[in-house]
Amino acid sequence: MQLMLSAIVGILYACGLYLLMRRSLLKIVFGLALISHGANLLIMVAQGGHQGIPPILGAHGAIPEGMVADPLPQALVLTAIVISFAVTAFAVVLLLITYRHTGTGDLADLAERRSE
Amino acid sequence: MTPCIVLPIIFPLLAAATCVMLAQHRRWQICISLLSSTLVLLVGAGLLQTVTSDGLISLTLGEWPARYGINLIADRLSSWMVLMVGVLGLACTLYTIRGIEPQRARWFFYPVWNGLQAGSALAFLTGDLFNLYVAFEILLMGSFVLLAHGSTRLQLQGAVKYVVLNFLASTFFLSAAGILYGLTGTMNLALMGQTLAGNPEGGALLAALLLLLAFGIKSAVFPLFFWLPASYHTPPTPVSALFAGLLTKVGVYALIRVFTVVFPEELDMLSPLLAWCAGLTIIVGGLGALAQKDLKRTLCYMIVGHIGYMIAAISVHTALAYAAVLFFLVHDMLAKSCLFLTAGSIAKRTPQASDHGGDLWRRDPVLSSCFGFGAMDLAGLPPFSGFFAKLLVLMALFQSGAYALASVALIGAFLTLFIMARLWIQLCWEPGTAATATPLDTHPLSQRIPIAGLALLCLLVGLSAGPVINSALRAGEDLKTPVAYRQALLGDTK
Repeated sequence: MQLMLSAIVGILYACGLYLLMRRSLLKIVFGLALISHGANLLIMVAQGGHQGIPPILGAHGAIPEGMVADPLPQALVLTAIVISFAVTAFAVVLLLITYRHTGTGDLADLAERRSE
Repeated sequence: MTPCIVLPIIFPLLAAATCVMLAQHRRWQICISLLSSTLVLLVGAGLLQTVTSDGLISLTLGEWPARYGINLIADRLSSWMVLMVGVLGLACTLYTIRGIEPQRARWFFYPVWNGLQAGSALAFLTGDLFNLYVAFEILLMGSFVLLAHGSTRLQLQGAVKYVVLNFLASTFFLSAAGILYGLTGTMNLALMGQTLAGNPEGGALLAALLLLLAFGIKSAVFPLFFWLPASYHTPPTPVSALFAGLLTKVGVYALIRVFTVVFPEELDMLSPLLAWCAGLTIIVGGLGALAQKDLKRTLCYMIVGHIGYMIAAISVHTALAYAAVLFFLVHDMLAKSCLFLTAGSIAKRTPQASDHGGDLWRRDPVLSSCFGFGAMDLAGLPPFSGFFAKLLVLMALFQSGAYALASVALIGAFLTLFIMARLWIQLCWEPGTAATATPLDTHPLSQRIPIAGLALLCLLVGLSAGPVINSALRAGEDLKTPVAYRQALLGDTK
């Protein structure tokens, strides 16, 4: 399970970085989203093998028997998801406005128009 | 005084929230922003005084034990930086009164403006790695919006590069934080350093490299600087000035803070890499500035070049070097903001500023004097603060035997002097064309005051360099052996 998740993190990073290097702004936005998912998953993977164990207390705050997963990484990931959501939303709006103002969503076209 | 440490974060946040509610009232928004910056300035000065007399201030939020809780902590370096947030915030906010189009106030300019300052203050005061990440995101989100605010074509082009590269840097930061949490089980900087000390692991080096990459992008170090000259000159003048003064310096601060407390061993290992990056940054920044014709673009490259000096000092990581970085940070924040504000005013008053030939000395002696002050400060002429800043860096480099890097720094200093002298001659002395022969419109007081104030501060820090350098030297020793900082972060519960 750890191994598979690690591989998925790697694939997400690779795909994200590949998309970031494309010219189309839309693909860049997708790349940003994929990379941030990769980073979120990385935090969960890096904390070690606690899959399937709940990070919660029992009824009346009783500490459950056996192992409890560390709740902090989940809190961190939750924060990171909110932040990356905000940034992705901003990036989408930036893409939209750039397209409306310049008529292109292509980075190379943007650069060419400046040199005109 | 201890609970006061939250105030530099609370004031701008409150101001941001109030400005959202007063979106239709421009004057109120300006008043509130000015008030918040003034209060941050005062609290910053108070923090600095308390830290100097009584030592570190540390506050554990929510009384959680060190492993889980978030600490706010102020040492000399943090207090100086918070003070500078107040100074720059006040100066740039004053400039916004006449420096941006009035209708921007209705489009939530001031809430974001204050949010950016809150994020910077939080970054300077936190003792928790994840909290530092959040602070970076707050100030980045603010800078994203401010950069694209107004959506001119040029701004959008700059914003795209800025957003993509800085978001990538944040993701590297987050990945490093995740790896470090996996290795140490905490986000507390001191506890993290304690756990990693003595057992060199591949994971720690990986995390250190990722953090170096993240902070390197944010502070615009060679070869990761391309987004800065592409974007910093595009937004309105006060925004550029605040960015130039504050944003890249947050990256340098984070680099010092995290590497001194968490990775002292990795810093030893990485110092040759840092030295190379620093030398190339100085050279590339200087040559890039040499090739530019536009005033603001030249200054953008000067930002990059001067980041190189700070990284050079960090690469030798002695107590003196850290002192040099602190002094350099203070000097550079003042000089860059002053120059960017001046550049904005000059560009408004000489229609073809990008082609130079301003004849400004005859037309507006006060403005050109301020530009001269800023330029001499940046070039490092005595008695301006830039002289002592460069002197300290060179002393630190010579003391550690980094002669090659010191000579590169000297070449960079010469380039800066040359570029600044050239700009001065072209803008102020060279007789203008027929269009610039017309007398100037009056320069609004709300622009004159911050420019003159910052220019005088540049001089004042140089004239009273003794106390500042003393404070910086003490801070340097604390940064070299951050025992007190670690103890304060660990608290009573180990």
